[in-house]
Amino acid sequence: MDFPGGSGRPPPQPLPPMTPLPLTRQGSSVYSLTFDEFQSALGGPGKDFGSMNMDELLRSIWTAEESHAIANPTSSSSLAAPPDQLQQQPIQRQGSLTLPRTLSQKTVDEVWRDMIYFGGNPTSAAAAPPSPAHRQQTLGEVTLEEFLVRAGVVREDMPPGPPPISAPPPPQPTARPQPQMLFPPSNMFAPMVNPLSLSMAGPFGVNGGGGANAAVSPRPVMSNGYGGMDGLNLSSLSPPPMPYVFNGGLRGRKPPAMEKVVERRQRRMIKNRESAARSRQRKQSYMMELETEVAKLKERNEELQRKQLEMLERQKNEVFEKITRQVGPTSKRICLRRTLTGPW
Amino acid sequence: MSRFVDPLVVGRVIGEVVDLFVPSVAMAVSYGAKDVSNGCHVKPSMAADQPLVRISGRRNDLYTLLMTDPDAPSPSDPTMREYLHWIVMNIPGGTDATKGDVVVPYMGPQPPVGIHRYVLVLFEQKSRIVDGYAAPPADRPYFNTRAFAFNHELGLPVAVVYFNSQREPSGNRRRR
Repeated sequence: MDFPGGSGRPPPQPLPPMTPLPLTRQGSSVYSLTFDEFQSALGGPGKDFGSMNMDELLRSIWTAEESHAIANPTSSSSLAAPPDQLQQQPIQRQGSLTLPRTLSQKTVDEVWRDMIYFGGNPTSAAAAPPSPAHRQQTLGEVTLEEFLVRAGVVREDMPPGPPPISAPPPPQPTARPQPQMLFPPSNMFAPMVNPLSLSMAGPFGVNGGGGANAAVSPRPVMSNGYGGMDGLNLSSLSPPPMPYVFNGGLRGRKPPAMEKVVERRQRRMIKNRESAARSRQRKQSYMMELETEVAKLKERNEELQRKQLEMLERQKNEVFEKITRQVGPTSKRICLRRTLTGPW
Repeated sequence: MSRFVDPLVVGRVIGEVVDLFVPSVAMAVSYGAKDVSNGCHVKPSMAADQPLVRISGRRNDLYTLLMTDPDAPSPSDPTMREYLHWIVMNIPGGTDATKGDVVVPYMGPQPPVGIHRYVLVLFEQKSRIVDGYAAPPADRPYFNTRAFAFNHELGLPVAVVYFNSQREPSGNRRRR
């Protein structure tokens, strides 16, 4: 996707073959585009956005964003952030998109409709009057930002370095600061990260690595932590089918219930591990005991056999002695004896 | 001598029930025909009646024997550690447990959950203990062998043996 630059930016370099439409407004990001523009920029992908799943929508935004970010390294900050920060920003930016489970299965149309009907969405308060007048702004005219924010996909984030992302949630295209740290991980996923992230670090790394680009990999790692963890847990730690952020396997269940299930499994696993350790201990202990027992018994056996031999020997000797004792006198008797001395 | 102690260490008996000690008295425990060796498995049904516990030792010395379960109610969650099963005091050396005074009557293993260790500990008494009857441990659960030994000035054990036991499945349910 080409982003020939917004205001006050040097013209971009020639970019990989994407549509040459000017896709940026003030905010030099994909998100400030309306759906219409975005769609056309993508060269009208097969599907109409309306019937696209939220998953796919976000994915396409993501791809667009990432190519944008790559193509326009200088565009991301108005505060002339240092280059390394620029490096970070695209990554951070990308790392922030997550999708609440409730939304993932819906199509864009449905979400849009919900938003319209429940117009009182606080994040959109400032931006979108929930009045009938607003309805007239069709999906096509809503910027991606607005849409996503209102849909609850995004939340303002407070990144350490870069310029004010902590700007007020209601996305104002005009006031949009550069680094769109607008899409940090959703709240509901946060609590799950820490306990599970340690144990899940491995699979995530793999998934992240299998993800799209190198520049993008941190994001999948991070967000996968949120979205993908459940998938991993629930599918017995098998990696999600696609290394996407939004883990196509996201269920339509509510996050809190999911958490409990995950927790329960975790606890069960820990208990099982302990039980296995105990079992091994038991086995080892018994083994040692048996070994010493065997050694003892062998010793005793040898002793006893020796004793037995001795006893036998003694017995034999005794008998012999007895015999000799008895025989002694008789043998003497038997021996020739001089009873009479002869005349000579 | 450590040969006789290692199974106790590995089985965590030394550490959880008693402290490291040097065995000085021979103790032979048997439930009927089955001799108990450290870590062996005994069915609760076989251990329902008190075992025959023969000890060596000097005739003039008196010994105290006790049996506890440090894995009550469950080895993964031993909240009731330890569960007291038996106390016999004033056992003359060279005889067996029947020759002593029963302070807490024998109760056979009844592990509700998991595989429990049942530890038999023998102490050498300094002198005849007469208040054993008067002040038996109040309750079976939450017993503490070390504390008991301390209270009665028993010091370190002179012999320890333990076995494992787990709940026998009821006849109907046939587990694989």
